[in-house]
Amino acid sequence: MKIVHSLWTKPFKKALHEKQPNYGGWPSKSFLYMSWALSCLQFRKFYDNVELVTDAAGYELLIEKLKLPYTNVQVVLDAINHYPEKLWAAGKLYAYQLQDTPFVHADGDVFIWEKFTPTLENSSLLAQHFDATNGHYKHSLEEAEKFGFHIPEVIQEYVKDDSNFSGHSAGIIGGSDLEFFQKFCHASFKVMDENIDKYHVDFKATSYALLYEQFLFSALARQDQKQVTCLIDDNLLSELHINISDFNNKYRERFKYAHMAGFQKKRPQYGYELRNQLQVDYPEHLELIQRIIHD
Amino acid sequence: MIEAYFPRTIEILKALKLISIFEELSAVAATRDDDAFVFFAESLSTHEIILHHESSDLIREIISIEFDKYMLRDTSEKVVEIAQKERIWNTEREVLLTTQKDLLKELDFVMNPFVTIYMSDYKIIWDVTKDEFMLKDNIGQPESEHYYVFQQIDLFDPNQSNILEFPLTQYECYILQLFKELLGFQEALSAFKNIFNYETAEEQQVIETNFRDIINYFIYKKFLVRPE
Repeated sequence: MKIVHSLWTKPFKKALHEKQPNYGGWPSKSFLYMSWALSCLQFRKFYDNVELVTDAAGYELLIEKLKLPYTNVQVVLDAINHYPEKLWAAGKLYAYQLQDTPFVHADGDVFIWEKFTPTLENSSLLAQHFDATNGHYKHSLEEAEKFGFHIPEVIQEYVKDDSNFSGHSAGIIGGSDLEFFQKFCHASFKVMDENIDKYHVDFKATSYALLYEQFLFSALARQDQKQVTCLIDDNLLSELHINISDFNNKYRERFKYAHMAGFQKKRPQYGYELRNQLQVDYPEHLELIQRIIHD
Repeated sequence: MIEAYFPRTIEILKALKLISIFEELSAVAATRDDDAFVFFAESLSTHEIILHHESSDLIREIISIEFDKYMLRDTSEKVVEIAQKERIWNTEREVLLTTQKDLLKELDFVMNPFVTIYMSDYKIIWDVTKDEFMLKDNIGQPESEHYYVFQQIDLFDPNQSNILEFPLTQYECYILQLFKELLGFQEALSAFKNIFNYETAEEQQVIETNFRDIINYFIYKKFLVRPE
């Protein structure tokens, strides 16, 4: 199975000049570097094929500076620099579109301590989990409507049933149905392009990303009657009292996976624990990051 | 500067429309050299309007907790000392929670010297599910019991504070306090079991499983460490 990471650096470059920079949700650049390092190194521990899709600056950072052991690198994401940095998920979508063999795309803040199951790896479509009761999707749609953004028909159709304000979390996403991914990515870039003249408004970037990525993926999968296999079932998450964003999952008997999603990364305990993990398992990379930050 | 260390105090005073007192006293405190924070915390908690306010106990407790947290923060020199311990504990924790997991019941533990247990009549800790303090929820509510830990770590946050805070359940608090002195897993388990009137083997099993889960969590958080 091929694992794919993607890093489009334009959203981070802008952050460097902001008063309260947002390093992929982490409170500082060092934690952002640690996150990519730990994520890559853990995937490499379990998979022989871990590829990176990035731009020139991403290559310089992850390959030349952090010396991360990706097995293949495509430096292609400068091609989407015409999109505003707030469309931070555009790099992921571009990476999905490039895939010509079955894949699992993982975010740079996803960490594994065991291989995925063969069932998941062999799925035609796969995702992290299904957010069945997630109000974020409703908010995402309401905000898009407020700003007059074009909303694709497939989503409008999907939410006619009020219970469908939900979607598949894309901490990991992928599968062997490459035709579906072409269709999904085409639809997603169409949404981004159709609203291109409206991005001057103060919209919430992550909320909008839900719409053109996770929400759209789920709506299209449902329309095409495609089954999506999830890493973990939503009910099992509550039954086992699992917090996906918890490094303690490393020490569980089952579900040795963590995704530091959303606002939680801002809290100091997450960066602290990320550092602890790197200190124990990859001290040479931690030292390298500390040297780069101090230089 | 003072504002950075009193986010809860600001939130509750805003909710009670008393924020002008904070602004007035923090401006005065800022002109003092050495004792700005002591002066600020004392003068705010003994301010006449706050003393006679119907939520006086809540406000004063929040001020007290934030002042205590401020005082717990360490110097850079001390953080270097904590870092040396952290390196050892991180390695020990890895072994304890992986290869030695089955041996935990034979080991002794002690509470991390950089952890402080805190009890409060109010729910004052950050609500991770809502990504905010929910201090307003305390207003007009009867006092109840809440438990927290403050943990001094070897990293500074942007406010140059090195204190993490976590909520504890009542049972977690009870167990952690047992380890203020060096104690074996089995001794602590016996003490914990003694607070329940269990009757069946199944009930006993549930208590033991919960105890083990709590110990695992404490080891992960490094609230419990192995003696030197």
